[in-house]
Amino acid sequence: MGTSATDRVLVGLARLVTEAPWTLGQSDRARAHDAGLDDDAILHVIALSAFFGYLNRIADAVGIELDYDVAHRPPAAVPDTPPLASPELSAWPDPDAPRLIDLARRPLTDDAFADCHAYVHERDRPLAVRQRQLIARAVAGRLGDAATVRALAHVEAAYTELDHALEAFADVMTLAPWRLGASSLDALRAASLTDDAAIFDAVSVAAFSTTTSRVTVALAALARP
Amino acid sequence: MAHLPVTGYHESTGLLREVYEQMMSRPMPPTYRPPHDDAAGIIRAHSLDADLMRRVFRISSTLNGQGPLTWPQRELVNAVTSRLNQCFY
Repeated sequence: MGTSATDRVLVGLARLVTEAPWTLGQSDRARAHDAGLDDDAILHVIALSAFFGYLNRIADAVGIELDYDVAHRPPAAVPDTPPLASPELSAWPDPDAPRLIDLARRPLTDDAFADCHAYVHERDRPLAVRQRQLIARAVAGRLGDAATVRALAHVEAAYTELDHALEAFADVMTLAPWRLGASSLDALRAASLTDDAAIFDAVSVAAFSTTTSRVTVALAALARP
Repeated sequence: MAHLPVTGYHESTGLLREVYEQMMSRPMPPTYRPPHDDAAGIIRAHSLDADLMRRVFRISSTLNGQGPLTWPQRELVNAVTSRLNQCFY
């Protein structure tokens, strides 16, 4: 069975969202339209791919084992794989430019994301709000999410060992999830984050931030010629 | 062996048990139905935070089992994403 033009566009969009959402632009939207994918479909791809990236990262960080019967064992992650690229500042999409496609056109998903975002970022335990903000800002900086970086500009820079460990962990989570493993969590434990619930909190804040920043960047970038 | 403690359905109590029951009583996309009687690994991976589990899978329910992308198209997007993230799950 051949790959349809529509499938090729879906694969291309998923790849860009996953690897370089800041490179999306109006030509990608036009290409999707030509392949029969309207703006709702484009938004669905962006949200789905960004969300699946969250699940991938949780799975890797927690270290859950494949529990399905599969015909072929999938290949193992290659830790040596170089990290994903981060955009130069000049490539960051304008957070204030009017969007051609917004998450609001998919209200159930928008609400669910907003609800989860509030839960992840507004509690003060196990991690303190400031620690969540450091993680979110580090992730946003790696993905070109100017809106989040700007919103968190007031947060004091990392100064404790744990602060630095959380930022380093955010980097791995964002740009090299294939390197996530027991040693990534040990690095947090070594920086005095010893409670498992707190470690999972760091994992989920970082992973979820990669998803929301990816969606934000993708939608901002799509508006660019 | 997971890097963090994971509590399955049978060992769960309190809020975690409630969330598992809510989730397991809903129609579940094939991806999340493992060939054993516990919740799928990716759900169990959230067992340290039942409140998060519920919210995350609420997002999932708005994206999976819904259009406009068809089921094969959603599977394609998810599979490509996983492969690029080098996550077999």
